[in-house]
Amino acid sequence: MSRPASSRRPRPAERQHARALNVVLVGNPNAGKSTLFNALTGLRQHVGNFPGVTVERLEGGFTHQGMPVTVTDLPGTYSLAAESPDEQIAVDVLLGRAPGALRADVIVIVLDAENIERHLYFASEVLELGRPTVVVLNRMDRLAASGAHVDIPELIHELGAVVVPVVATRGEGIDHLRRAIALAPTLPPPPTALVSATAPEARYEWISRVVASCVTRPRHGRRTASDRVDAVALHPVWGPLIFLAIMILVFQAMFSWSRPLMDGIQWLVGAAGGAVLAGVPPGDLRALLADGVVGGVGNVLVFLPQIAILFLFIGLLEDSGYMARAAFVMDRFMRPVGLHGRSFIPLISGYACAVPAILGARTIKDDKQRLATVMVVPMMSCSARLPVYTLLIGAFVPATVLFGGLVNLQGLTLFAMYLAGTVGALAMAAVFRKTLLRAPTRALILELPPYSVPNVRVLAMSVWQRVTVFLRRAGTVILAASVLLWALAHFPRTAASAESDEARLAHSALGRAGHVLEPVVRPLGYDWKIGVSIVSSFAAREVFVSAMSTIYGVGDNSRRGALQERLRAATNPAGRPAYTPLVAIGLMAFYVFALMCTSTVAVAYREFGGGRRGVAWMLLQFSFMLALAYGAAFTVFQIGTAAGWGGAG
Amino acid sequence: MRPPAITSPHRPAAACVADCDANCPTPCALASLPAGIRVRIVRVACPRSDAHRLRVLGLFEGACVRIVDRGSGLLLDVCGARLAVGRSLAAAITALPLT
Repeated sequence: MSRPASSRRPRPAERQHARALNVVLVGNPNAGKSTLFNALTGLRQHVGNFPGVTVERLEGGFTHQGMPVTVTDLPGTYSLAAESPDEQIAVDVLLGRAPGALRADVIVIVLDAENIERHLYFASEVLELGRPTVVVLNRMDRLAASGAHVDIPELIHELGAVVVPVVATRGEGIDHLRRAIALAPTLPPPPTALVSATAPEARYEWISRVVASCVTRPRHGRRTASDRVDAVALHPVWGPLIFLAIMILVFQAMFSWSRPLMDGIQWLVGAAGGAVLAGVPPGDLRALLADGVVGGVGNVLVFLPQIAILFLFIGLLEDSGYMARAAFVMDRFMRPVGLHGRSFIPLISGYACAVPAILGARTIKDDKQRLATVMVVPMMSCSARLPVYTLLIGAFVPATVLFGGLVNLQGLTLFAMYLAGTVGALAMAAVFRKTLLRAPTRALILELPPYSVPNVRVLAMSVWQRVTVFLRRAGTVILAASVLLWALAHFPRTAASAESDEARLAHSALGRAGHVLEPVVRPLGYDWKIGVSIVSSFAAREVFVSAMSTIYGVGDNSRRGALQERLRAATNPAGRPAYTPLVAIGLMAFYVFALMCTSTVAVAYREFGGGRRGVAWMLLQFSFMLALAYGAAFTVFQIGTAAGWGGAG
Repeated sequence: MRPPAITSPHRPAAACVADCDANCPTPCALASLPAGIRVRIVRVACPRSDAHRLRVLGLFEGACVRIVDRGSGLLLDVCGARLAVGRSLAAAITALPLT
């Protein structure tokens, strides 16, 4: 690799690069790694896992003058003395002892130029590994705006490594960085003894010297714009109120802003159903396509806009820097239940999906606090519950306008469901922290990044990644479950084909299973149809909606709300309505608490440590959640009936 | 589990601590000091793991920090970065107010 990487014309020597150059991105949390990763790799990226562990591994690539380069984004780390499993992965990769042997040919250290003292700490540790390294000074625009200046040649001299100034949000300096990365293996490695001693104090002393010689800036200690915002956002009274207001806004947006898009998708699903009816001759195939495939998957796809809006807001809060403030503000409320402010971020992410939320719990340093967090995260209402809530709320809760049009009863009911899950999660965390996971709660130490305007591209990418995960689920698990359900609902057939749909369903495998199950769900006010829908949704919650669509045969209906109309019209054998608002509320209460998601169970098992211990914790988690779910649904229905609020009889 | 207190005046000549000229009254708990002032950390008396974490983040005996805000915890300016610490931890840190 003697070719100068800066040359414009590819030379024959480049064809020798049979294997890609492996580059890892490291840096402190909030150094702007994700933005830089996006700027470097563009759309060529995918999310995977590190082998053996469940830490997300974001990988992408680019080609520099014919040479393929693979870039891996490692979890943010403050030092090589890792304190959490998340940091441990990054450190293991850097020290060359990562599982699956991810080999780093070039290490790219990302520094926030504005925060250079802090970030040089980890950088100096990594440089001392003596591996080919490129130092990236990110956010140079903000540094310049603050009136400061960095002497890059001097910094290169001090660090003994290439330093590339960039503005990742605007893509400035990225070409230089690519060239520097390609060139790095050919340069002498940085010195392994930058700092004379290993104590943090000595390292900071070295940093002060380097900064004194390379950085000129106006005196420290000014009150920044972020500080002025924080005076309100972190206020003991205003802080929690602002947080609450933001949360209500998110739920309102999920319910009302998503309407037009949901109508659009519903129309497309209806059109697809219509096309099936028109193009396929009557028979089993048509029924399978219309009820099983279009009805099952289509009725779940409708919720895509809500899920995208939820992830959009979570991304906005994260990227703007508010999420760390929320953790700080909420620490006060988490402490009484034995959790840490840091547990709060996984809990909030649990609103989107328990799987990334459980992975996010890896940033919690204390083992028992982390376990307690993982135990209760699935109680936070995730996006997969939305289809169930939306279906039932739309069918049984009137859209009564409250507070002069600010919110309506439907939005408020949805909020109540989320609140019930959250309160339940906190209460159970307290129970665990007082019993099985007893230990003092660790002190709160949290770095608050400066507020910033989220990068549209980064935000869009993260929403897109989550949306594709949902689509993949719809195309695999939910499709398979829908087809299976359809088959179970249609076979074995009755002898006489002229019998009613109702009788045919009762005769099918699904119907028979439902009747066996009925005594169990009867105390909750459910008929056997709800019973089988619940059981079938233990693989994935959204399947409940598919199951209902299959059972009520609405795949061929192009009108929005067709399933909701059928539910309202459905009667039980006694001739009374099968669904009343009370049954609907009880059913939602069941879904608030039940752990019905194979992916969550699998991830939690691994996070509990796998093996026997993993199985024990996993079973405990599954059973306490099921018991809570049944208890909640039972209480709602029985108390409601006794109070005369109209049971299903 | 208290780390040994460093009583020697360990004073790195950091850019962020360059204007630390101590000629001040008596050290007291960080949690009890008002917002807006600069302080020199004298002693960090908390569990070792927390103390290590604070050190890595630039908060150690001899370092100078500014108290930005006080609310449910303390917001500190440590080397230009904003560090939020809980009230109980702030009570375990002793600091000298600087003029």
